[in-house]
Amino acid sequence: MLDIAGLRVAYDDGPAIVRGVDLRLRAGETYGLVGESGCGKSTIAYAVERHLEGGGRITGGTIKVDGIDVETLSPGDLRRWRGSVVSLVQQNPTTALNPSMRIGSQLLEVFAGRPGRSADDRDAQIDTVLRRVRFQDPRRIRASWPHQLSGGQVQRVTIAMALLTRPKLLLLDEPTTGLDATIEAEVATLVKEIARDAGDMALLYISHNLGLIARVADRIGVMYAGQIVEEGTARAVLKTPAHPYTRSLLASLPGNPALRPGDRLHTIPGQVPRPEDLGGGCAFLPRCPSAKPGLCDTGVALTLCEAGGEGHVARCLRLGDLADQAFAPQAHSTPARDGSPAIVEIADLDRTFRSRSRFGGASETVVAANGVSFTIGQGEIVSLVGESGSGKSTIARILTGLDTADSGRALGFGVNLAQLPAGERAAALVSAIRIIFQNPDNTLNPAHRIGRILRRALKRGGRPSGADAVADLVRAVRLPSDAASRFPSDLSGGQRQRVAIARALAGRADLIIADEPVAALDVSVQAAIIELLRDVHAGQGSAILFISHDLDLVRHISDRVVVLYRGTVVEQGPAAAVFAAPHHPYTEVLLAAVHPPDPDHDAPEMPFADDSGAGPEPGLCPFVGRCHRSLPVCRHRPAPEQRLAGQHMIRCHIDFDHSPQNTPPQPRG
Amino acid sequence: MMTPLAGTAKHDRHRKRARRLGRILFRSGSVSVALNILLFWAVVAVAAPLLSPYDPTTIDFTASLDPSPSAAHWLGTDATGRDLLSRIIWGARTTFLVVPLSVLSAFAVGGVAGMVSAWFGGWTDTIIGRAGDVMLAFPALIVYIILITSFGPSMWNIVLAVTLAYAPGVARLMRAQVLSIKSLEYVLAARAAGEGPLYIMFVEILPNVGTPLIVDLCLRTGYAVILVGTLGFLGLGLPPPTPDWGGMVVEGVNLLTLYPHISLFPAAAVTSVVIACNLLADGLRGLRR
Repeated sequence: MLDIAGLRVAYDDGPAIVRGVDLRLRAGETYGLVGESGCGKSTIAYAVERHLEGGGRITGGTIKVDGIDVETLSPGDLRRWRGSVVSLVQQNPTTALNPSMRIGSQLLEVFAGRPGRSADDRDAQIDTVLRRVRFQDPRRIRASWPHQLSGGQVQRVTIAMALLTRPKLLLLDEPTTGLDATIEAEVATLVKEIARDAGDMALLYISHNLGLIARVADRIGVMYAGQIVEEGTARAVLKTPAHPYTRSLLASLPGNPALRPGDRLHTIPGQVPRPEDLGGGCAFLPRCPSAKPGLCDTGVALTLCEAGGEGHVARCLRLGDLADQAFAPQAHSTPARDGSPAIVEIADLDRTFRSRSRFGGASETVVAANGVSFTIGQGEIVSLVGESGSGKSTIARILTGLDTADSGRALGFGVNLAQLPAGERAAALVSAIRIIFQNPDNTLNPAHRIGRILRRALKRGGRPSGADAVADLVRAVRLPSDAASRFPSDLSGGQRQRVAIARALAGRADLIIADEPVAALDVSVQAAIIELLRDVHAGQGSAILFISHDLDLVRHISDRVVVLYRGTVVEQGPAAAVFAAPHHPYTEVLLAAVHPPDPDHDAPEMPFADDSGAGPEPGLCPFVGRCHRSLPVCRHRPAPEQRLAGQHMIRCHIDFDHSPQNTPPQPRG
Repeated sequence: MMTPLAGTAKHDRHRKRARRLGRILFRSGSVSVALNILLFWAVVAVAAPLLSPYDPTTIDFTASLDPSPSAAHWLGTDATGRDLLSRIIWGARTTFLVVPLSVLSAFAVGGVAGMVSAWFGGWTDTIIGRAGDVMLAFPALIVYIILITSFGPSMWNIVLAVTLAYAPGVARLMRAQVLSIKSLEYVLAARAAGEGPLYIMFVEILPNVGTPLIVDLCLRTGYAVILVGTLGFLGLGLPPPTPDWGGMVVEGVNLLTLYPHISLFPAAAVTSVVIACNLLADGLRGLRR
């Protein structure tokens, strides 16, 4: 169906981004293309759809879809061909739909310029496709505006749109990136269903998420620096990875089954090379644990060589010697902390945001924190988990003084942090609590050199801020020694997060608030940043409030876990207790969304969350509208806090002692 | 873990940006034209005493009988017999002193107002915003006339007039820029680190407001040349006999049909500077990150 041979693509007059990719897709097959940012996977999708115009150029190779060479299509043919033969689902669902048109009209637009089909026919076709993406009531969805739908629903509409013309090839370019894990799971389930029912439609699913790819793909291609470095059936690539990159990547995931609680994550040194830095040798060479000088760095052809049955191939010259390369987990030196004195005690914290309406309409309220109570012990790692909009970041902002609570307390360092904005805090208090943000692009001032940023942090922390002190910090976060004279734009995302950690180190922070510190980083550098954070935690005894949606990671590093849903703590306790049954139904949904990179993993399926509207009445359990285990009483009385063994709290009506959950999800298999 | 930085010197993004700036400034045809014109006038302004053949205020009575260009007066003289070339040369000095001073003053006032407005928000924002609206709504020329008739023509009053005219626009642009920057994480980090508003505004935000303000600066410099000329034309410019391009245009108006050169040469000088500023602004627009 799709036949790409020797494809090379470059942007403007820059170096090639895609460097000789061969890729073949049979009808009815789902191919998962995995790779980190900048490795060229989206570029391939654009090249197939002929969307490169304006910057990109195919400098070599051919792309054939259903036997037709894509490059020979005239503009008119191209219009008909897009949609009817190839459909593309893009990354950002929020901008994929026109906000000023109803969903129904936008779906009808797809038929414009396509002959045949009566109006009734089209209507029926739209309804079928909407049902196919699991909308119970197609008519209601067609009458909706895009802003009335949730992110997951919008992405389901765009998938419906792509299916409407019955394409032979469906390209999905990171369709769930930026969405919550629970929605990712929904979309993956859907894609799998569509692939199964569609007969001979071929799917190219592009993602950086190995767990997601494992869920949907029949075959997998692993991309690195513009080349496919390994290819084979999903089972072969994920269970018996051959290329050192694939092996390292799988080993570095916090869900790696070989890890024991508290072990160090396997880290991959360095970062993804920029296309202009690539030489003739193996692109992974600088980061490869098994690289052999003289063999791997020569410009000699790096060809695909057989590494095992079923067409499993890898681009490595040392495959035979790698068989015994294993990553032995190392124990982390952090002692288990239990019952350490509280450093911050949060009690009954409330924060509600009201959007003022300008034209007399109803003002909307968003509850970001509703009676939140938990404590952070000295030197503890406490994780806050929940979907976006659950209020995790609001709590972080209140603790750092960027926001204040409506009511409630956050007692720590001798003051009530909940009511004390950063500007009114004493210098010592300010440097005792430091925050690390999610987005490495904006976390450092682009106009300041790294040295200046660190000097200022040292000065504010009341410490000597000479060149030596800055150099010490740079060394402590394992940045190259010349980093101090660089601007943030010269650093990679991971390196910038290291600077942010250095900033926290500079003040000798007692509490580090890490707001999704690795969510925006490449998979291969995430583990290194987490380990650095844990080293700081161990070396300095800082407590960490770790905000994350990556449950595998949370399970691996946390002492305690707090689960938030719409500003309410629905479950909290020691990590081991929270991750073991019984769970709050919401925690259950979150856990079901975690999928290890294992095609044989049987994920428990959860009902699709279709309520995008307002929550239930105040006071009642906020999850009741989405709950798959809700009881009649949930809609009448607020859920009680149930105290289970070992400081484990669940806010729910379910009587866990007498009616244990029939199928507690076991994501680890 | 001690890997070398991804950006070796040759792939330094900052250098790339500098190189792009260099390409814009020196390779783009229109920008080089603009820079050459501005450089030409700057040299003329600085070297006025050396370049001008006559004193700009000395009257040549014989020439006033026929002010047309001649061997003695290359560009002719004005109606009173003052050498036009010398007056244009000295007029460049006036323009290149008054205009930058006025524009910088407008940017200082408007920039600070916009920044304070965006940073503090609320009432501060409302008051500054409304004040700016009032100033923009008021017919600017009437303000100048009131201002200059009550305080008399002087360079500082021209600076004040231009500042009043341009500061509200600058403030709006600055406010929009600061609003988009103030919620970025590095500013949040500075706030969380307990930095005060002055430090955040001037050290964290100001260096990042970027290209739109530079482009606006170039455009406004061009307009300010016209505005200063207009003031001169209305007789509100520098007190005579100081040579001032706008004032020179008006001096020739009565003789426009007989001796158009008296107005046209100074007008051409004004036009050249305005065009240069616009070309420069156009070119710098390409300087985005």
